[in-house]
Amino acid sequence: MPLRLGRYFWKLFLANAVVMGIVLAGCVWIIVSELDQFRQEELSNHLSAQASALEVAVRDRFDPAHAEELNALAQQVGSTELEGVRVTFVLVDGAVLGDSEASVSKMESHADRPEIQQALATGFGESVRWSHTVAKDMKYVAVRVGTASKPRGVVRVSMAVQSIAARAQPARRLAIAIALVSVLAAILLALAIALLWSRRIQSITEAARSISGGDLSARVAVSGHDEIAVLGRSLNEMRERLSGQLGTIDRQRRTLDSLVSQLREGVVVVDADGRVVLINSEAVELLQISSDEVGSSFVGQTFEQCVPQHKLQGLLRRTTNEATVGGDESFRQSANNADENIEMKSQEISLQLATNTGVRSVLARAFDIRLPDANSDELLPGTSAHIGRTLVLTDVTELTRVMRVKADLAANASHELRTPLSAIRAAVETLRAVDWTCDADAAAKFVDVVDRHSGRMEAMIGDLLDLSRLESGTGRFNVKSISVMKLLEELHTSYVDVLTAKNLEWKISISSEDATLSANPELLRMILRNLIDNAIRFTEPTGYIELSVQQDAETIVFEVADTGCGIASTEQQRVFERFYQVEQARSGPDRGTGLGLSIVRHAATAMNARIDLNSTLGQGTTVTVRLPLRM
Amino acid sequence: MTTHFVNLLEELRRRAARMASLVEDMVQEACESVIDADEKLAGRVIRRDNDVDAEEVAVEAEVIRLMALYQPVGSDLRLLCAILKINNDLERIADCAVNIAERARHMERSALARHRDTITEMGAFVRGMLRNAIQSFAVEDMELARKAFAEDEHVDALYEQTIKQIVAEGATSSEGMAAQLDVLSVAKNLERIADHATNIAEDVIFLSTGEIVRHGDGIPQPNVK
Repeated sequence: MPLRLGRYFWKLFLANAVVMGIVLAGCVWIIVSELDQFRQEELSNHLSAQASALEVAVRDRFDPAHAEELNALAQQVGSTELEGVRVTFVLVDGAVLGDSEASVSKMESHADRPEIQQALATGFGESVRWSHTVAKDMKYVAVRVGTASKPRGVVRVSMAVQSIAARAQPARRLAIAIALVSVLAAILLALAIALLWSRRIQSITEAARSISGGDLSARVAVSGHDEIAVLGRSLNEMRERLSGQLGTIDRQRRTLDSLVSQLREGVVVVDADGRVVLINSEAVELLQISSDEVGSSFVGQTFEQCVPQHKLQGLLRRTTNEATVGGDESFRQSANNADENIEMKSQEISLQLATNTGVRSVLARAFDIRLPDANSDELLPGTSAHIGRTLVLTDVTELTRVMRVKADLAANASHELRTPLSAIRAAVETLRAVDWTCDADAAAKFVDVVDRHSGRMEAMIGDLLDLSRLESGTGRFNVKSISVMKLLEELHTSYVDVLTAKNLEWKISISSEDATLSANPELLRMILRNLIDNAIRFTEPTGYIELSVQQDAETIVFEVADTGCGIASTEQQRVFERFYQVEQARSGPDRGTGLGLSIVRHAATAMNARIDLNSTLGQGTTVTVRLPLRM
Repeated sequence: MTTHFVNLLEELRRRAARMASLVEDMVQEACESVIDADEKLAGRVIRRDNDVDAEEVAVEAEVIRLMALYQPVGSDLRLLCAILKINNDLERIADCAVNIAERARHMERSALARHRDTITEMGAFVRGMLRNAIQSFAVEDMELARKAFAEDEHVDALYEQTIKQIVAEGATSSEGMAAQLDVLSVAKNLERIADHATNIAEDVIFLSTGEIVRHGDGIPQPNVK
């Protein structure tokens, strides 16, 4: 972590440094001034002791008569005995008897000097002042000679202030040096403390910032037990709890997202303002909106932008807000209930939507839902501001198709069964009227008709039974080992008459003569028979039917190819539907039941086989059945 | 501008978008009513025109009210102007849809059978163009607007082709003129719808950039930004 010196550091540092500096400077100042005081007193005492000693020495001869002697003494003491000390003897009247530095004769009266006046009055005088005699600042100490009632004069000892200061200088320097050093030490100490503390604060700040920025991996390194450590620890705990909660929320959100996105229904939820709260991929697909149109995300957009279809817009608008504009009649009905805005209204319409995969039939349902208030946890009941609307789009294309096929089946089955039945009835009615003895030929013809049509009905009912058995899946399909070669021979035997009659060639190609497979023989025969039936039916004489079998490691492929009329590509998907017959099949004399390929498909499904139909109109059809070797 | 004004503007924009999708729906149903010869659907389209007319008046009144009350400038003013013009175009498109639906009521089946493919193709293309123009307005997407703007030429070409086809048939066919005119009228109205869709696309470009793109490049550009 790079160290950035923040404000907190400077505050801490400056506060510490200033406080320490002031305290230290105060201490040094007190010590120095105390020292000065002490030195002053020492000096005073020293000077007064000297003065007292001199007073004792000169007490006996302190009169103008001994002036010469006293002056000599003064000079001797001043120059030799006491270095830098000036000694002056002054009479009561102020006349100077002797002086160590100046010539007595030139000196004025000293009666007005404060220390002398003080000494005469009290026995001891002291003053610091400018000396006219030696032209220096001097400190004077004076001692009275004689008693208070009979003073004879004053012994005065003085010293130049300058030299006093000079003597104090080394001590002062030392004190200042100590002060400087300790201030420096204080600054360094303050710096160290500020660095240490601000670094801890900084690391917590950084961690808090990255947590607030969403990075929950940030941890604070904590040591010690002080308040900062407690703060760091709390932050770490908060981070853990937060990341746990966020993880839970994230998981829940992802679960919800994946649930919603995997729904087969398209879902769009809008809030009370008509802005999209949720939209899933199926809805995006059905509504044909791409993210290019509305930006990266649809959430937050208005439904007018996301849902282009006017009918769906009408469903999404809460009818309570304002009267429906230009809507369908169905929307109007609910607009009448404008007062009951709390009631959850639902509407339903079906419409066609053009999508990438073609036109889809869609059932659209819309209903009001309560949305959570952004500022509260609860789903507030009652207030319309929190009522959004959900649109559910169900793709019913397949359902519609299935329903159509079922309806077709019922209609077709009754129709297809009725046709031969009518023929039979007509033939039977004719036979009743026919005189059997005289018109035996005609009678035989009608019996043939009955025979043919009842056969067709039987085939059809057989097929329908097969189909329903396959569809219901209740029939048991036992698996046996089948020899492919045997199966083909058996098929050939059963078809040889038909083939000869229609002059068709029967070709067989097989990859391995002793190929076997495990399957239900009945189902396999059902498939192949129906395919061969169709091939024979739609192939003109002199064509051929080719049955080929190829086997590989996992599958065995049966291929029934013919040189028949083929199936148009538009009809190839529908031929597997029940009773669906291509135009030629319907009109031909030898018409099938229309159930063959449907049976093939169902049987193949029951055997886990795959059916592919490949056909070119006018050239022939190839149907491929891929069977897994093991069921 | 106040939040209130911004909200009103947004609501107005959405209202115009809803009206646009209604008109688009009408065009679709009008085309279907012609192709499937569905008179009931045609009747529905004609009935819904009243709603569009009422909505046009309401939107226009709201635009004027907002202009007078708030005296907007800049992009807000451009939006209001664009809505005013698009509103007008939408109403005209709805009228065209009604014209088409009216044709569907009286159209002769034989003439329809011969021109069904042309009408289906042109209808689908015009609807796609209208969809692009309307969507470009709803999401203010310049790319879509320019796309719709560029597609008009193709519609004009389809229209030309239809006219030629009808003229060629008129020379040989013994059929009454009324049937031919019905087909021509449907094609003409589709072409008009495409023109109005182009206008909408132009207005969206104006709305986004302040650039006036109609009448090609030859017109000097006033400074409206």
